Amino acid sequence: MSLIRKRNKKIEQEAELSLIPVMNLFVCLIPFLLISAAFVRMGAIKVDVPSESKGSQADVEQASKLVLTFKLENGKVTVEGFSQNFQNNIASLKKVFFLSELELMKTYLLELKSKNESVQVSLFYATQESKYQDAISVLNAIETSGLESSIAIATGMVD
Amino acid sequence: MLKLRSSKLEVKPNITTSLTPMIDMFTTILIFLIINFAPDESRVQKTEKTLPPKSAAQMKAIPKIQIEVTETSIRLNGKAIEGLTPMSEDIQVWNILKDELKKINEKAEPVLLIADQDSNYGIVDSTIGHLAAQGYGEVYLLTRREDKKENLQ
Repeated sequence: MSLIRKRNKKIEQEAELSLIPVMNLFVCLIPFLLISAAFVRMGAIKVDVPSESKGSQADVEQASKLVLTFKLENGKVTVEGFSQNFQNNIASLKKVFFLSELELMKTYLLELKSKNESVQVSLFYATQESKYQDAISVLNAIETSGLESSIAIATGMVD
Repeated sequence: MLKLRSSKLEVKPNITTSLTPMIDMFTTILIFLIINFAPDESRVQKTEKTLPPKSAAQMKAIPKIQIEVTETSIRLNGKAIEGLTPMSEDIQVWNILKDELKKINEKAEPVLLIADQDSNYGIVDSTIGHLAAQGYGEVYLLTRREDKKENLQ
């Protein structure tokens, strides 16, 4: 009986699992994943900038469609509607929202979309003193409102 | 003597390193890193000080051209452009950026613009204006995605 026990013990000792290959794999994988990891999730808002090549084509396309402008100034966003290449200002569309009321602005834009399907471009303008975070909040609200129009940024003139 | 030798052999302890706790730790780290695996997002070249503004927007692809704007400097793909500040009014100074962009590529590809959330919009506006003048019509503004916890609050 004692001999059999001893033999069993020997067999148990021989069947040890070698963890070294697993360790090797981990040591290779961890630095690779560490380099490729992003601990802060990034996003990006796409904006169009009026450039020389785009100008004339855009003018023709926008002639008959509604263009919305968003002006960020002193913590307020002024929404205005234009048609016929900014020649016709639609007074009834003008609305002013505080930065804390961006959800209201989104609802307003959704209403506009349901009434008028031809919103072509949303033109965004912010004053130089505005905070970048505020500008992004407005742009994000426009993008997530479901207008399905491209966002163009109005910038200062460069000679 | 023989007895002494045999007794010494018996006393010698059988030392084995237990790798199990180490494997446990590595497994936890591995799972955490796999969750945060984002090869595209890790290619964004920005300084640690710059904290992009929050938004719900997502990023599909990382543009090749990345410009980081601060109050005092402009960095192109992580490399600072000497003598150029966002509020420079001298066109000659902006031509340095134009030359650097030409070195990267001839085509006007999309540009990823990186700026801090607390910075003035003016510096972003000025840079976009100069990029537009150079024919870059498609700009992506880098943001960081809002946490779900923050949304709930």
